[in-house]
Amino acid sequence: MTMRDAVGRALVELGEEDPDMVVVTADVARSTRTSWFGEKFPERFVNVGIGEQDLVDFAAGLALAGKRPWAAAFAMFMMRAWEQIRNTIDRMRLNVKLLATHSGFSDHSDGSSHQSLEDVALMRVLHNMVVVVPADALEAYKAVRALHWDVNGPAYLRVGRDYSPVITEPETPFRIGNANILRDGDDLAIVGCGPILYQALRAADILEKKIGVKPAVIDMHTIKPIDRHTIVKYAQKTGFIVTVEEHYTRGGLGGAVAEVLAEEYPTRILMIGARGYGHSARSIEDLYRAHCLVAECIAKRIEEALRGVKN
Amino acid sequence: MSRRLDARLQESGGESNTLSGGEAHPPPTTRAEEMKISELRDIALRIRRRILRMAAVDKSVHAGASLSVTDILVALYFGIGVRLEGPKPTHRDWVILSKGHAVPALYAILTELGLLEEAELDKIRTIDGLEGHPDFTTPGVDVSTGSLGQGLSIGAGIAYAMRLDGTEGKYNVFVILGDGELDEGQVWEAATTAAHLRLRSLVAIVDVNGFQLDGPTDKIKSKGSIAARWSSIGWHVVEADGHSFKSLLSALEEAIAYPGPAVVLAYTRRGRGLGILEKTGGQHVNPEYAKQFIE
Repeated sequence: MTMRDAVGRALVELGEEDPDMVVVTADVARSTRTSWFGEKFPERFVNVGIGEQDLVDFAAGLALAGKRPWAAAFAMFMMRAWEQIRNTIDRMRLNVKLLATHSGFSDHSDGSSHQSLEDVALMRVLHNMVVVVPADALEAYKAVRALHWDVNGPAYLRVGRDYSPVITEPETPFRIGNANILRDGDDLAIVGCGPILYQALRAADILEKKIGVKPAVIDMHTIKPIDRHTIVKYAQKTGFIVTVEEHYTRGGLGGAVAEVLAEEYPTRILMIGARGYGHSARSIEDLYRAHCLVAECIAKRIEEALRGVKN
Repeated sequence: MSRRLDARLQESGGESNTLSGGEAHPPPTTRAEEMKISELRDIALRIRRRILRMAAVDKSVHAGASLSVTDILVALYFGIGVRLEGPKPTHRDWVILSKGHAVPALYAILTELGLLEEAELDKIRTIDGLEGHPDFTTPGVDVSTGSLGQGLSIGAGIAYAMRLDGTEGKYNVFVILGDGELDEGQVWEAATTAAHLRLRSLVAIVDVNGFQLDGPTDKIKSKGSIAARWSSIGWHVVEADGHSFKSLLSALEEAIAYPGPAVVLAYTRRGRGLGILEKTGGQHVNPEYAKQFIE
């Protein structure tokens, strides 16, 4: 199951449970899988056409009137409504859930106009916004449910289109703000978010086999509020933090982790992320390779950095 | 000096017949209606005095836009009546001042309603006082605005929630926009959404005062036929003299009764009632000058 499929299914289930839930989209019903909710609950589904600013504020109106809306769009085009999100939803702390799909490089074929490498930075700077970036379809499903029932305020859920090798278990707990340890280790800690964590896990395996170090891999699915405790704990334990994300490191997960470390426990950090705009490609892996985000390249960069750190 | 200027203000509540758009044809006025209109004029005069009271303490107050929207708000709150309370958010009326810079007029209305203390007005735009643009933490202010172009989308969302809760047509969402604000693309995103959904609770009111921040609207950017723009996408358009209560009340009643989204184009003058602003279409007034009008 892809991430967007998992989200689409979770929304339908929530629709059964919550009569006050409404889903709004901007001419991407099928692409975001919100059409499934629309088929089941046509009266609680609104397609505003190609207008993301209207999408965001229409959802704000629903929330003001006591509904629990989800607004769905491609991550890149949701950013077109950043000012609406800031001035209306975040400033009034409205209970609107923003579902941003096709994030990162996941819309590989459409090219750089459709690929979002800035959205986490734009969302995490907002005062009241909760920002969640699930690692795989299982986690995306759990995140939708947790955001709907446990967060009474604005939240941004960033999911990819299709690419998401399953790296968590159905039983893996999901709590907003609590990072999950995917692999424990003492020599360094790789902190990542989103489907790129699969590459980070493989990079950890490569490093262990090749040079005998044991990296921990941490799934930082909640970027805001970030799990400061886990970051500091692993900084103390390993002395070297690596962040990996399908986004620019400036303002992204890398920036968020660096802020925590600089304040609480200054530690050497290596930030790995997108190196520039994307491009159309036949697969997301082609883009990962171009941006040194495949496991082999991540491992190589960590190995080089380790030489600098340990000598 | 003071008396003469008072007379000028008094006059502004009168029927002006300065319709700058199409002709409105309000029904003949009965004696009871005449009395009501005379009460509304008295209220409007008090609202204008309060606006100048705020302009007297802070030169950044948008007096021109507040004075142009005054009669619209008075007609709405005291002529039609806005039901501010309800058991659920969808069981009451909503007012969204999308042209948020005219908030002094709204504060003056809320004072008239007893929701704000007169003394609060003097603290407008201070660190522990009223915000310079509508903020939902102020009692009686429904929605935070200030960034133009967003109110109609928010109003459409509320109107849709009324449909879901079965109160569509029983309550209204009034969204007040400026004509300059129509430059914002989002207004038309929202207008087409509302027309497509046939949102009958939604009533838009455009304060057509002919000015925007940088100058007259036709110099900055022509708006074409505002009425044609709304009607071509499926809105019911009602035109009104925005300084005549007879005309405003009749237009608002028609818009409320219409079984779909309706817009009142209220033709006004920026700075209405204050000669110095009305002549120039200016926005700001010298605080020392404004002080003359405070009782």
